[in-house]
Amino acid sequence: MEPQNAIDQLLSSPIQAINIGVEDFADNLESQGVEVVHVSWTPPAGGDLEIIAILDQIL
Amino acid sequence: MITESALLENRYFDSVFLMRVSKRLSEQSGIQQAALVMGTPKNIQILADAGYEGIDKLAAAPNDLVVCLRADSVEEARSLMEDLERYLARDQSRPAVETVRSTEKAIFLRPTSNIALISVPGDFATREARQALQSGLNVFLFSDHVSVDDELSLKRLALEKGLLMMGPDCGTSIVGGVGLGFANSVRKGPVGVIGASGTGTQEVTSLIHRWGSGISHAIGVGGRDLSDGIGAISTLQAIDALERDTGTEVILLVSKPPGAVTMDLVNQRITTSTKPVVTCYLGSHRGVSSDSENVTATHNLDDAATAAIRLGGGIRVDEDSPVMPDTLERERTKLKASQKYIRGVFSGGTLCYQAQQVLREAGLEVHSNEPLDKDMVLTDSDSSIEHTLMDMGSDEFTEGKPHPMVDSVQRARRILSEAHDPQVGVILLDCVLGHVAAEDPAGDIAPSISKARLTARQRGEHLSVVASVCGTELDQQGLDSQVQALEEAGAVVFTSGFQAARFAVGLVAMKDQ
Repeated sequence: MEPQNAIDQLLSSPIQAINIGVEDFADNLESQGVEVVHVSWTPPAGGDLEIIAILDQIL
Repeated sequence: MITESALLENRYFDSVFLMRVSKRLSEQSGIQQAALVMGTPKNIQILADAGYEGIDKLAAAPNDLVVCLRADSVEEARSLMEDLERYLARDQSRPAVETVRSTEKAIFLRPTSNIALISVPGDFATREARQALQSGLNVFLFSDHVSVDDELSLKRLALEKGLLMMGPDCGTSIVGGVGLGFANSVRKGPVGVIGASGTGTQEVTSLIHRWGSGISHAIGVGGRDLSDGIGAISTLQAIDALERDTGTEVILLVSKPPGAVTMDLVNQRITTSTKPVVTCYLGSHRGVSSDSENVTATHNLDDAATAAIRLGGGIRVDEDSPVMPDTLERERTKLKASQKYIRGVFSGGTLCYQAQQVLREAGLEVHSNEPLDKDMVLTDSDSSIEHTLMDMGSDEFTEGKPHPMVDSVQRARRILSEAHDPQVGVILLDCVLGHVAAEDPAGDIAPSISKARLTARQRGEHLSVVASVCGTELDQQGLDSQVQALEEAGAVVFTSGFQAARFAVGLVAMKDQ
């Protein structure tokens, strides 16, 4: 049997989520019994988009 | 009245949390208005425009929290500022979700994760989504204000990697029974939904549940996926996946009309689908899409849900209608001849859109801030004219302010202002339940419905308020109690937005001639 692709796997297995941003969404998943890790996100490089673009090119 | 501002450096909070705190602060004694935002240039401009003088001199950065209060006195404002940390503290009653500082760390902790939900501000959303896709995660991208070019590049990357990119601006999905974003609780069943609109997906999945069937998955693709700029990349992937999915027996596609090129692309694909497909292209003129061997073309969400239930092997079983057969006549006779206009005040964009379609098909000219026909756009969104249906969740009402599905303040105000127009006979509303939505959406707007009707009564007129509740008995808000709250305020309440809009048309149809 061929290994499942990632989309089929998502639709056929329990959701395991990473939540990036609004904490309410993580709380909501947790309350539905979903395994979730919340990323307490903050804007990178102090939110300076020009610096972020430069860093993304370098790294 | 005075204004007071403060800046808390390097204190980042998400927008939903800040809106909740803003609301709590606004309710404190002596406080007229509170606005808590992160110090992005756009937010600072919004505050300056709202009359907070000197706010631009704070030199805020996107990582800084800006707090603005409009209060009766300096003492009351400063006293609340001193107490601010108490409001910013995490609510201890909330679930203890494992929290880390970076996506890398989250992936390291849970290498078997299969999806990332991303709801960061639009400027940063593409970067986070790209990182998630490159790490092999499917993405549910709630964030909006992502450019078409960025969306295309993210969707091409997802396609290349065999991953699903739901969004940007994806409000709703249901994957294997789990609601992502604003979703309703529905039973599992044979209908697989692909939705390019959040409330369209919510309405159709709720109706399928309430009429006796169920949902295998509902895959949100974002509002632009079927435009020619994107070419239905996610929709086509979702069709492939639902075709392979053993739990799906019928595929239902809900969208605004696709772009011309994309329409051909999608039609070619669905006519060769191994499973029956129902299409519902809202806002299109009849005849844009037509039936073929395994494609059933529908024109509204009720017909779409009904067809999907039938093709999934079920029979639509209607609930006992709370609306008595003589209600239309009873309400209509109370309206004066001069009360000939409908005013819609919607929280769900697609429900507003569908209602416009119902009015248009009844021969009524309908204005909106988000019109079906571009030439019917309102020049001033604060002033309705003739038949006007407002989408209160559009950008102009939600920039720096909570969405009406979370906070009803702006909608309540609008309901009241419409009631002051003596030519208005009907106010048409939606009430959307489900995950992440307000705890008591009907209770939030019920007082304004009562007050609007009282306003009309005081000048000797009757005002019909017609509402629909989008949700199920499994939703946390409680379907019956939500319907009851609206009815007690005097609204006539329907199961679907389509039924409510048709009823509203029935009330004014004769008067408009």
